[in-house]
Amino acid sequence: MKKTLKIKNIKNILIEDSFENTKQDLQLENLEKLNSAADIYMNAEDVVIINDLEKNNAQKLVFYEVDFGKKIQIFLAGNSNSKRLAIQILNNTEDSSRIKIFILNSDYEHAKNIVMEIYHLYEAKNAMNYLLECTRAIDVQRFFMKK
Amino acid sequence: MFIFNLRQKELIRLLIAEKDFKPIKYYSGILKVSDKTLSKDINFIENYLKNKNIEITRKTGSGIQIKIATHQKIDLLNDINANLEAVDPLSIKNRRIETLKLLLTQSNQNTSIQKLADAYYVSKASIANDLKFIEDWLQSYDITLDRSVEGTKINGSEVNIRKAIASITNELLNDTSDSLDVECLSRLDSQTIKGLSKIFDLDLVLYIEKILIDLEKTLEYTIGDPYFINLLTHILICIKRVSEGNQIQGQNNSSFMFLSADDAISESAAKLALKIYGKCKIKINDSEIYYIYQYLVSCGVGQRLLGSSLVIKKDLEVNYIDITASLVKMISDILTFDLTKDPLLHDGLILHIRPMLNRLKYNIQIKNPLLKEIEERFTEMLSICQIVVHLITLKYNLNTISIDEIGYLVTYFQAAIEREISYKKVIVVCHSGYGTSQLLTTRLRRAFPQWQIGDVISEHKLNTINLDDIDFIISTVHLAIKEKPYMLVSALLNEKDIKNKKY
Repeated sequence: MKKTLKIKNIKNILIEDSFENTKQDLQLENLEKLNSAADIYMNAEDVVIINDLEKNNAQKLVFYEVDFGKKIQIFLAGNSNSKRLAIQILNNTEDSSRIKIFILNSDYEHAKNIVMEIYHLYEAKNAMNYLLECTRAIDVQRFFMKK
Repeated sequence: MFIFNLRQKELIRLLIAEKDFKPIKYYSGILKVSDKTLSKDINFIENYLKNKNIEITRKTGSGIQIKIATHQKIDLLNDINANLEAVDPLSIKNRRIETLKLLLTQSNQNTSIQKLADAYYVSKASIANDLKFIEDWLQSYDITLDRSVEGTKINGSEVNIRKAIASITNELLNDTSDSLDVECLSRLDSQTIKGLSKIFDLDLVLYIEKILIDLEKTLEYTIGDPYFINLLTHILICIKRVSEGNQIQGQNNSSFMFLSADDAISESAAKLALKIYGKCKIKINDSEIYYIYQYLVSCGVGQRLLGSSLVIKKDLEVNYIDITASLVKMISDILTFDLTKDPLLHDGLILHIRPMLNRLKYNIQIKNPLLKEIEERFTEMLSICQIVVHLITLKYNLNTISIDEIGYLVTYFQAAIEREISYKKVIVVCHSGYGTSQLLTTRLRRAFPQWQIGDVISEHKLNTINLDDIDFIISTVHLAIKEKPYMLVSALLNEKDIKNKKY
């Protein structure tokens, strides 16, 4: 049963209104397609991943890179013939850990929805911490299969 | 040379504001960095302060404190606010800029490694390295460095050479060393004037500035400073190049279409050319006038003139209104924060995007002087804007939009979000009679001017009104309401209430 809402001050309102709270229930409909081991890379070289992704494409992929804060990097290839997602967890160096997400998608509306989910993921601190701690692809798979 | 990053500047401000000793943890907590990073910052700042006879003292168990007199505080704050990169005339960077400037502005003449080595008192190997660096830099403007027995000179189209000169000029505008005292003569800051006067004659800079100000008056439109400087720079470059015999030749058929067009902007471009002729006695051809025209429409001139300038009607294939709407919708979707109903954002963006598309079309680059700060302060919004702008360019088949341009868009969205967060629709529930409820409302309005206070009602009427648009309720009594949050206050709204709500 829903409790009566009572708040003490504006700070609470802003927190409750902020994005953070709405990310408690993560909607990762698109990212949940990252449940195949073939799309999950652990501490691999970028070139290895890009070569893999280019195998099924008739043309060379052109990636647009954007850093999403310090923890997530997005690589978007809008010239891809196919739709595909891949994730890379980088956590075996002394530098801070980070996640790279490769989006192959020429449908800008669909790509936007994926970016929206990445932003939700980025905002969900616990989920991010979990992914950044993963050392096996199966743990990443588990995360994206959980819903 | 001391160049502070934003965090170090903030640390200095915090140290100045703090009267007591505070542990390093206190500052590292506020600035959200590790103690180790903060200690490094303190060492850096300490070295800087030594020359100013200001000391950071350490007390075991208590922390650190800055020892500073009141008059020193103001000087120090002014220093850090103005702290930009100082120019060392003997630095490699400066030598390369000077060499670039020479090659670009005297593009018809050869120079040699020996001449440059003699001019800068460095080895030929150093100059060869500089030229390699310059060659790489010029590549982005499709300009090559041609070496022959006669010497070294650049080779590229006139338009590209001008773009490269503009970029170099932008570098020079960052020079904060000794300033020129011309602010009383100019609308621009002395730093900009000084930068421009390194390449152009100061009298000419001030004259062109004046005719642009006259143009603003005629067109009843104030050009924003970054665009104004861009326009001024390009007209100055145009004059310099034309006077040295480097004209832009017929770009395409658009220039002929433009010349037959009867609109205030093309007329203004032609009048500018006449004034330039009057002052400098150089003939500005039609292609050059069209070039000036491109800059005029790309800095927003004409926005308010007709509502449908020539460019929008005849040249622009894409619809700036659709683009604006798509941009706002996509960013709202990603943030899960509806900005589509913000008229200020919409109208501001429309006015910005229209000339931005012209800049894109004519490949006109502008520099965003706030970009570094935007990158540091609004990292997430910048990332979101970057990716959405990229998607928009795919959707509308546009050219790549530069990070400087995206930085400007970020400011619109950040402002909209901050507006939305502070702007709240509120209703007041008060059971203490009309007079008290009026007093409470007045006091609330004074304390929270950003709130829109709607109805003042009694508790029993609460169930009869629609609360959909209400953000929260201010009440003098406990409420059994589930739909919206409420805040309990005393009927006279005391200071404690106000403090609680401001927190």
